[in-house]
Amino acid sequence: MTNPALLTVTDLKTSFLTERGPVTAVDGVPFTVRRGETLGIVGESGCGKSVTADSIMRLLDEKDASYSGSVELNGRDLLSLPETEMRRARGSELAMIAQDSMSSLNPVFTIGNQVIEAITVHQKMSQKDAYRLAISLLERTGVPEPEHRMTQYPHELSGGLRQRILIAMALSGNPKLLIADEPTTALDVTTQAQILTLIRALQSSSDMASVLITHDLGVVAEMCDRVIVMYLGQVVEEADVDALFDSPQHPYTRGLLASIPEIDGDRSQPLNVIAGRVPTLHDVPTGCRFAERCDFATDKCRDSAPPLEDVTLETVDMLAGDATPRKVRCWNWRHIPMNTSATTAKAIR
Amino acid sequence: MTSFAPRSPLFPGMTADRRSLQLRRIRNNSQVMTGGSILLLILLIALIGPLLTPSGPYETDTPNRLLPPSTTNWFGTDNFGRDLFARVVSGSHVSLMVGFSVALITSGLGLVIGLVAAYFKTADRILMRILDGFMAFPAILLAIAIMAALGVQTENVIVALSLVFTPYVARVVRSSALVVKEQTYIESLRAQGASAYRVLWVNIAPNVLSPLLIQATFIFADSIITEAALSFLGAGVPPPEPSWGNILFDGKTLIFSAWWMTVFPGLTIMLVVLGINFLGDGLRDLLDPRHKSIRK
Amino acid sequence: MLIFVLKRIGALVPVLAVVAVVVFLLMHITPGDAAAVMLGPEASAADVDALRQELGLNDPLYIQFFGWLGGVLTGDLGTSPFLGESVAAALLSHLGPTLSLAILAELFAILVAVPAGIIAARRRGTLIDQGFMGLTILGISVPSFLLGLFLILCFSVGLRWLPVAGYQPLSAGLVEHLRYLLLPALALGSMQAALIARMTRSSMLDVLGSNYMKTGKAKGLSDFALTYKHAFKNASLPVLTVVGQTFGSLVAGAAVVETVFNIPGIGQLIINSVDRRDLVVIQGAVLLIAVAYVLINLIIDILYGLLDPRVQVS
Repeated sequence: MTNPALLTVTDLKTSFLTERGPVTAVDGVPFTVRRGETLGIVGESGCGKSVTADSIMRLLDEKDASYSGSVELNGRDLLSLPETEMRRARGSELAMIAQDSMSSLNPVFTIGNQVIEAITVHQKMSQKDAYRLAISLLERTGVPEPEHRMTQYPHELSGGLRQRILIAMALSGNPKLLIADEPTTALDVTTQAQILTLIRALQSSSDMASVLITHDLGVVAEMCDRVIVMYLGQVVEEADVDALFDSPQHPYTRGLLASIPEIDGDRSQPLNVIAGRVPTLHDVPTGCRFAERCDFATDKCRDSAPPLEDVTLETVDMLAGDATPRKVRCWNWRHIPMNTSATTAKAIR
Repeated sequence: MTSFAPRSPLFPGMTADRRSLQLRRIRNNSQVMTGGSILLLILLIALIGPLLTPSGPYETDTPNRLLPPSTTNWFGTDNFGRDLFARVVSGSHVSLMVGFSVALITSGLGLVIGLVAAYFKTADRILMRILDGFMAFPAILLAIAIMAALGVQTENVIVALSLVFTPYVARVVRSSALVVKEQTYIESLRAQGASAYRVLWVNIAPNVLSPLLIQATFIFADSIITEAALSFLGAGVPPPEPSWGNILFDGKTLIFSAWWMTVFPGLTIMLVVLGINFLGDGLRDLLDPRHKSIRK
Repeated sequence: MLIFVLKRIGALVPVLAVVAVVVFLLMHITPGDAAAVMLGPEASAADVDALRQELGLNDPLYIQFFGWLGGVLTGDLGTSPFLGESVAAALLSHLGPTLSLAILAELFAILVAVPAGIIAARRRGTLIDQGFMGLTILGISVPSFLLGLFLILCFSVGLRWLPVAGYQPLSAGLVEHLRYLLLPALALGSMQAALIARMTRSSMLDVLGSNYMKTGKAKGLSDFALTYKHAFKNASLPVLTVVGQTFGSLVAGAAVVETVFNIPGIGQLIINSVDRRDLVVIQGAVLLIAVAYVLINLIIDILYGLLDPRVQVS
């Protein structure tokens, strides 16, 4: 039942030149997205998830950003394409929905102008046909009164409507891969739900795959088939969504899951938080990048960096089922007991 | 629509580049350094210059008129045989005096007007309309007109330029004070019943000093330019008192025979203004938090 | 849109009122008797009395003001005791050269500075960028009259390519006209160019880093379409403001540059009037330029409203 891979990212590294020297914001990220699948990328802000998205589309200013590794879409490495071909791929083979719908639409052009532009940049057709197609795209994305919207400017629309417009533009070229970078963060809760429902509906009516970037584990649970967890530019865990929620392996993933407050939880207890702060990219630790904040860290963790290794069936026996291989980047994942709180962890050590 | 960050009244577009790369932060300091050293150098020459000249700025020596630059007369001599270096040095006294006085007067007036406008709503409405009206006149033009009315005298140059430039200072003070006023601690002071006078002078005033200082450096530069222009036009410092503008005016009629009368005072003005602009730009980037933005 | 325009015009009324009062008061801040000052120390008492009568200086101040304002509103700016003609006529006969000079300078500034600013922004941090920005600092630090003198020294005295000074009207042929106006326009426009280039660069940088540019790139737009369609329209807004704001200093600068190049425009009329202390002409000229400045900014505001749909709402 597994579909063939659509997008294969291998050892993706993205570095920036800054005044304090070069930093590697994405450091050797691997993942695969299959046809029709939704992959979630989660992590705290600054973990490199948005840069990963920008790197796949090659949106960064290549004057101060550089990529290495490979990003293969249908077997073609996007990173080695000449810019003109890459441009042709953007918006047609792969498309993106940006985070902030207000600033992501050009304020001085009408909605119609921007949607039609998205169509005609890849498809040769008359203005009239493009207009008709634009209207039907707006209808598909649930924009009421599309003819009227076409004449309006972005500031005249609500956040939810603007997000629908962005989705309509992203869909205009029938992309095989849709990258959604925090598509709902700027929206209020009810609108969030509507937008997520819309994305899911659109996806199920085609075989479009998507990469959903978010810091919201609720969104992940609802939308994704598989998840990768990123920390400080690296993938620390990869798993099917159910497996991840049932048996998180990496201490960081556990921390993330534990930090979701429970509605019927004991309110006298303090909220679970992951202690400490994310180190900056300028002083990346030599050992495990999470060691400083990890309750289970040993000397080995602090000295040498763990690889991303496969989680084998015998260790996660009954939970893994027939799912795809899981991966985790931790020296001690075999030895960390399930459902252990931080205090008992210290006692064990 | 317009914000009132400190900027030069003559060149209103000169606001800081908000997004230039981080390199800029390093350059800021060097900007302040460069500007500061240029100004110090000029100041030094203004101070010790009179000791280095072969003759005073008013001493005529007709046989030696229109001499090109030489080891005795560094900048050459003018059409009356006066030593041009001595006149440029003496002109620097006039320019710096005018620039400094105007910067000081406009800072004082601008501070009072700006604070009052920021604090009292009715006064604000009236004062701002008046300032808008004043700012509708191009600076040099209003200065010329005021000079025509008051009469051509050095003191009147200071009066005219102060009148012309005060609105620009007042606007900067007002907009910075408005920002401070909205802050919670000022509100809580007012809630505790502190008098308007106290809040205004003790709590708000110190917070507007850095934009005021930056604006004052720009006014200083603009005053020097405007004084030179006025004197060049015959509406500033009256001859025979040497001022850079006067020397340039004399030089213009002799432009075919004595290039040095144009080049040396001209380069001096350029250097001073360049120095002040560097200093003001650098200070602004260092002191004005609204212009500090760090990418990513 | 109409409401927006009417509102803008309404906002000008208090500004223009202050402008009128200031111009009116110019006659009255003169130490001593304005009429005596204007006629100079050799004038007879009878002449001074006659001029005072003519200018209405004997009336109470407010009557003088409304009398003067009434005249201004009907186009009567008074009569110059020196020129023997109405101020309006004098201004009109000097307007042509000033307009020619100002328009040419502004055109030069925009045509040079906007592309330079865009290139500098797109090549941010490179030598080209630093070179351009260094030039702009230089441009800002050289006042126009000084640049004018330097240009004369270089191109007229040294190379002898262009006339030192003077003016030929357009009726003498375009080439002649431009030959005389080239250096003045360069002198006047450079500062403008520097300011516009800096503003273009910084607003381009703001725009190039914005999210809608990212959206545009993700759509698959070309660099050209991104820069010249999406970025430029946004970046042109602050540039437009600078053009408006600096137009005043451009006109004022024209007054100074005209003196350098002996161009018979409004500026020279003003400067000659300062020598003669002909306050009536100065009042008229200053009023004309201030009102022109206010109106130019009104036009810019309206253009702004047309270019940026957000402005009309707020």
